[in-house]
Amino acid sequence: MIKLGAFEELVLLAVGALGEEAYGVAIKALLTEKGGKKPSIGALHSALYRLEDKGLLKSWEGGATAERGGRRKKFYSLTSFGIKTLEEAHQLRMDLSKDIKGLNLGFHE
Amino acid sequence: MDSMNKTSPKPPQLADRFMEWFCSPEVIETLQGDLHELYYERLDEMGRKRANLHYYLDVLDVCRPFAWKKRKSTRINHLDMLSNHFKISLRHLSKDIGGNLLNITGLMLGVVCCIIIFLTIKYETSFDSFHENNKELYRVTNNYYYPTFTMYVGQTPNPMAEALKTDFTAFEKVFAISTNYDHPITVEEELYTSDILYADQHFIQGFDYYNDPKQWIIGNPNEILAKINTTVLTQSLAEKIFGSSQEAVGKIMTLSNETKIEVAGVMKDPPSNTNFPFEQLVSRLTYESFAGSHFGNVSITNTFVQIPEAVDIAQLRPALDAFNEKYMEAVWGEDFVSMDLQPLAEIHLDERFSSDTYTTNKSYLWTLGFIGLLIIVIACINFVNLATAKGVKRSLEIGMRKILGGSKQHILGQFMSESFLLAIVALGLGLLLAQYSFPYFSELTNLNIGNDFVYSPILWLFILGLLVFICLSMGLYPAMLFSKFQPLQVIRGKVMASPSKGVSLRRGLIAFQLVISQVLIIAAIVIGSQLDYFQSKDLGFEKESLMVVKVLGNIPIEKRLALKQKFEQLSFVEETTLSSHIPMSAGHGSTGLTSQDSEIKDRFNVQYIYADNDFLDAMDIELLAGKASISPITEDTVRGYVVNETLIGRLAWDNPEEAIGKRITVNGSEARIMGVAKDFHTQSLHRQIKPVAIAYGIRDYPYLGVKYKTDGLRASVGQMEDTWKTLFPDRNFDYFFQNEQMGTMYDTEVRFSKIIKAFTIISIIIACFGLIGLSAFSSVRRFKEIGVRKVLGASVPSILFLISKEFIFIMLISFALSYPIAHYLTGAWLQEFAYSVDLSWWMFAKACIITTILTLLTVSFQSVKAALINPVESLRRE
Repeated sequence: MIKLGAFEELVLLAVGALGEEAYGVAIKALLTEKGGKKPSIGALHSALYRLEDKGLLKSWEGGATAERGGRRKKFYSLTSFGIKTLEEAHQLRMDLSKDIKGLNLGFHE
Repeated sequence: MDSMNKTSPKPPQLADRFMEWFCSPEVIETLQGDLHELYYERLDEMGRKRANLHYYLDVLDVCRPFAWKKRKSTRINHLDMLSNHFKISLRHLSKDIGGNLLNITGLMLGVVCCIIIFLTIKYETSFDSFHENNKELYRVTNNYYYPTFTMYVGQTPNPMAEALKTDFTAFEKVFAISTNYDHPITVEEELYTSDILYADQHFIQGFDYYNDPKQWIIGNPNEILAKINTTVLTQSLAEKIFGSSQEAVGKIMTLSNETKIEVAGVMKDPPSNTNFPFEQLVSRLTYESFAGSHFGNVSITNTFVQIPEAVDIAQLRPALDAFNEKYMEAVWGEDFVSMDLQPLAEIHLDERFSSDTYTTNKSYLWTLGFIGLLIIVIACINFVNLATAKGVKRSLEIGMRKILGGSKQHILGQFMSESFLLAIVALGLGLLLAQYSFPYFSELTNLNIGNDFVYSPILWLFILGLLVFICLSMGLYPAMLFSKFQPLQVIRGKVMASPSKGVSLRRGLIAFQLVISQVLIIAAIVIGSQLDYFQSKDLGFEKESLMVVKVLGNIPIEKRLALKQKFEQLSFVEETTLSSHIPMSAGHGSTGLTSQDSEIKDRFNVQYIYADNDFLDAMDIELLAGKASISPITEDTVRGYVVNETLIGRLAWDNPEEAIGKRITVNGSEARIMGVAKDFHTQSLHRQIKPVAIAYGIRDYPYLGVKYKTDGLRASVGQMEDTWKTLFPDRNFDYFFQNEQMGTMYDTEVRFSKIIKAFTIISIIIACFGLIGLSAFSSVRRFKEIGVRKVLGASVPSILFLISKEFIFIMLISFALSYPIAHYLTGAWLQEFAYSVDLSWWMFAKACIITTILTLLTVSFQSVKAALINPVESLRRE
C-alpha cells in the first residue's frame, strides 16, 4: 500500500469531488471552502505533481481562457489506482474508528 | 472592476521574469495561469497593491523543486565518459608526438621557472617569520631629516632600550642587540673572524625561535647571556675553531679590544632567512662594559620592542613622539629626528633601510613573479596556437560527436581533458626538474636559499593553482571554439564561420610571445652593458693595481710605519699609503663641514678620509691644484686638507686655484686647503659623488694601500706575508685586492642580470618551440600548394619567402611594440643609478637582430624541408 499524507488525501478527495473541473485554482477554492484553511498554492501544486508521479492522478491540458492571460489549465482526475488508494485509506479509518465507543460517525448499525 | 478598465493591471513583471527563470517549460504555462487567475481574483477583492504583494509571495511559494528547470537527463555514466575522454586524448597526443613533445617540454620549462620563482619569493618574504611571536615584535628606527634628504636608520643609540623600558608600560619586552660582523677574535694566538651579536636573555626570549631547547646543544643561553664576559657559539663556528661543540666549552676567546670571553654554551646555527644572523652570541653586559652610552651616538645597536597584538600601534604615536622629544631631539636638535616602530616581518623588504640592513628590493620580487607569469603564458600560448591550428583536422571528429548526440559540454570536456593530461605531465616533470635544478639556481643567483628543496603544503597549493591556471589558459579557448562548431556545416566541409578569426588570434598570440622575448632580450642587454659600465667607468682612481692590507687592532703607529717602509722596499711595490678608509671598498667617514672663508656659511655633510702624504699617488688620483703632501706630517693635529671638485663647487668657489689656502673645519680640526683633487668615487655608482675632504696626518690607520707594478703580484703575496711575519709573528696577514672587493658592491645587479639572462633564454626556447610546431604544421598543410608552385616553376627561395613571410610580418610588428615597453622598463631600472649607461639604439638593434635570426632559423627549419621536397612526392599524396 502506498503512503499517503493527510494533505495529499485531501487533495485526492477534492480532485475526485470536482470531477471534470479539477485544476489548481478550483481545487484550492474547494479546499478553502470546505476545509476552512487555505492551502498555499505552492504546496498544492507540489502535491499535485507528486501524486501524478505516484500514479494516483492523471492530467490533461485544457483550452486557453482569457482570464488567465491566454494560458491553459491543467486538469486532474483520479486514476483507478488513485481511487483504490482512497478506498483503502477510507477503509483503514473505518476499521479503526468503529471500535471507538462514543464516536458517532453516522453509519453505525 | 474599475481599476481594470483604467489600466488593465497585470501581475508584476519582475515576479514573472523570476518565475520564467527558475521554472521548467513544462510547468510554467499552467502554473503561471493558476497564479494569474488568483491574481485577478484578488485584484477585485483587495486592490492592486495587496494583490501584487500576494503575487510575489505566491511566486516565491511555487519556487519548489517540482517546478525547477531540470538538467537534461543525459543518463551517461560520467566515469565511463571521462575514461573515454582520456583514451581519445591519448590517441590524439600520440598522433603528433613531435609537436606535443615540444609543447610539453616548453610547458615543463615554464613550470620549473614558476616553481623556482615561487620558492624564491616565498623565501624572501619569510624573513624572521619563524619566530612564533613575530607579529608582536617591532624594531625601533630613527629618521634623520637632512635638508636635502631623509636618512632612515635601523640602528639606534645604545641607551635607547633602557630609556624605553622606564618610560613605556605598553611594551611587553624591550631588548637590544648589537651586531659586529667580521669581527676579529683571537683564540690561543690564532686570529679568526666571527659574526658577533651582543645579546642578553631577553633577546633569546623575544626572538622565541631561539628559546626552544631544541636549538640549544650545550648550556642554556638564557643563563649564560645573563652573565658578563660569556659567549654562546653556533655549532658551525664551534666546529670551525675547536673541532667540536664539546671541545669549545670552557675555552677563552679574545675580542679585538682585548676583552676576554669564555665559551659557555653552543647552539644550532640560526636559519638563513633572518636579518640578524650570527655566529656567536656574546653577553650584552660584556658589550655594555666597553661601549659608550649616549643618545648622540648611533651605534651598532638594534632595539626591539614586543607589543601584545591587541595594542593599536597608532595609539602609541603621541607617547613615542614625546619620548623622541625628550631623548633624541634634546641631543640631535628639534625636528631633526623622529622615531618609528617597524614590524619585524617588514624589515627585510624595506628598501629605505638598505644602507644598514640587508634588504631585498620589493620591485625586484614583483619583477620575478611577473616574469614567471609571462613564461608560463608563453608556454600556454604554444598549446593554444597548435590546438586551434589543428582544429581543422579535428573538425570532422567534433561534427561526428555532435551528430551522435554529444553535447557542447562533452566537446568541452574532451578538449579540457586533453589539456589537463598535458598539464599534469608537464607539471610532474617540471616538479622533478625543479627539484634537481634548484641547487644550481640558488648557486647561480647567490640567493643563499639553501639547497633543500622543501615540499611544503604551500608549495602543493601553489602547484594545484598552477595546474588550474595552465589547464584553463591552455584549454579553455580551443575548447570553447570547437564546442561551438555547427555539426552540419562541419560535416559538409565548412570548418569555421570565419577562418580568419582563428588565424588573426594566432598571429596576435605569436606577436605577444615575440614581444615578451624581445623585451627580455633588451633588458638582458641593457643590464649587461650597465654591468660592463661598472667595470669600465673611470672612477677617478686606479682599482686594478691596488691591494689593501688590513692593519687592524692595537698596533702602535711606529710599527705601522715600519711595515709601510718594509713593503716599499719590495721590488714590485710602487707606492704605499696608510689611511683610515679606502674609496669604494672600505668605507669613508661622514661628518659636517664649515668654512669661515666661504660665503656659504651652513654646515653640510662631507665624507672624510684620513691619510698620509702618499695617498693620492698610491690611489692614482689626479691633483688639479696645490700640493698633496705636507711636511712635517705630524701625529696630533691635521695641518692640511685635499678636497675634491664637488666640495669646491659646494662652497661656491669658481676654480681649484681659488680654493687653495682657504680654511675649513672638519671633525673639529680647522686647517687650510692645500690641494684640490679631481672627483673620484667613494661609493658605488648608485650614488652621486659627494664632497670629500682628505685630512693629512699620522694616526693608527687600519688600512695600508699598496700600489703594485707587475701582474705577477699574486705570486709575490707570499713575499709580503713573510715581511708581515717578521713584524707581527702572531698576527694573520689579512688583505684584499681592490677590484675583487669592489665586485661584491654590485652583487644585487649581477644576481639580477643572471636571473634575467636565464629566464630570457628559457622564454626564447619556449617561444621557439611554439614557432617550430606551428610552422611545421602550416608547411605540412601547404604541401600540395608548394608542390603545385614548384611544378609551375617557383624557385626554392621564393617558396621559402612565401612560408616565412607571415612570420616576418608578425616579427616586425612585435619589434615596434617591444621598443616602447623595453625603453620604459629599462629606463626605470637605470634610474636607480646615479651613473649609468645611456639607452642607445644599438641595444635595441642588437635585440632585433637576435630575435630575427632565431625566428627565421626556427621557421625556416621547417619551411626549407617543405620547399626542398620533390613535388612528385607531395602531389601524389592524397
